[in-house]
Amino acid sequence: MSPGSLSKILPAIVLAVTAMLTAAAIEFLPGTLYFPVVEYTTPDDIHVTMLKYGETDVPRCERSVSQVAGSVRASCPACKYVERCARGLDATHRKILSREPLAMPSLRTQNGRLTLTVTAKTPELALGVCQMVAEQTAAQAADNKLVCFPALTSR
Amino acid sequence: MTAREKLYDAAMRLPIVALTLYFLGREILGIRGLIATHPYFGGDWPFLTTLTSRVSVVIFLVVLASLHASRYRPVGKHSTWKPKITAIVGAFLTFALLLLPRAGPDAIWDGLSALLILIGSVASVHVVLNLGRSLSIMPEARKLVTNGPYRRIRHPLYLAEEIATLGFFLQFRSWQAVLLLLVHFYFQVRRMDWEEHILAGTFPDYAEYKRHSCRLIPGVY
Repeated sequence: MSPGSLSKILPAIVLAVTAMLTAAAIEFLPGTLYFPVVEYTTPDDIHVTMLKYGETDVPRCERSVSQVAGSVRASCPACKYVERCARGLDATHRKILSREPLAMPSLRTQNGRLTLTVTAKTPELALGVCQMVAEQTAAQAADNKLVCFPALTSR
Repeated sequence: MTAREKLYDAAMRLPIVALTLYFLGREILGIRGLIATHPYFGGDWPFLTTLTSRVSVVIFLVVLASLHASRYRPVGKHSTWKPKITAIVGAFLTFALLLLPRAGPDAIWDGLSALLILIGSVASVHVVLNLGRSLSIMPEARKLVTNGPYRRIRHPLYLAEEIATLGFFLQFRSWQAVLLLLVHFYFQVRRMDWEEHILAGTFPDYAEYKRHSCRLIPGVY
């Protein structure tokens, strides 16, 4: 191919490469990130999963996990905890962080950085817990305030 | 060219290629951080615009690294340090911009930034296709190119790079970035002075070419 004909298709090539790299970044970079996950179960069988936006390395993720778990542990010492840093997002976690409706009540901050899902023995109980947590954070700054979304509603 | 000269030439390109690759890696890590704090779930056009602007920086850096890795060896150059330092500072201030804290995501500014950087990238490659491998950071003479975009503009590659640099700037939008940009422009003008000086001294046809061409922007400068 001569430089002249290459010059003619150059803008199309650069645009295509830009689009491909942008798509590749969206598709593959989350797989290299660490997402803080804290799950806890209360003595009366209410299960809460907390998921935060990703961190670029494990130490940052672990700090984030400790921070979230620490604040919950203070209010529920009898709860059972699972804390971890998930590498990448599986389909379930991806759905939780997205704005898609979920099968259970969920809470999220305005900026979407923290999302919680609540399951309990009955859907009514789960929704009640969700609304109670939202009320407890109502007085906090906008970024920390949690909004409760009932099951199967867009968030 | 002897093996020793080839080795020297490769060694001379290494610092600028390595520096460009360092900033390339830094930008890719930055994009990773951006994706971490804002996972994409579809339909989020403002975020896509910001991401595209960051990807366009990566593309421009790849273009720069490729250009510097494939240039010709000079046939004439300045023997004093002043033009060399001017060239190094002028070229590196573009990278210095990337060290500043970025302004928050903004669909309009980021969209404009992506557009300018991509125009700069396309124009750079277009110019280099005409320039061949006569590209250098230092004011050096490789061969006199007067065809294609060089027919009317003496420094079209600078013009392309400055368009992209302006695109970089739009992602930062701070007074520090303005200051860096102005100092960078000053050094780029000085680089053009030195380049024209060395080209005029190396190629007898250069004075005639200079009379029939503008320096950077036809009808303006």
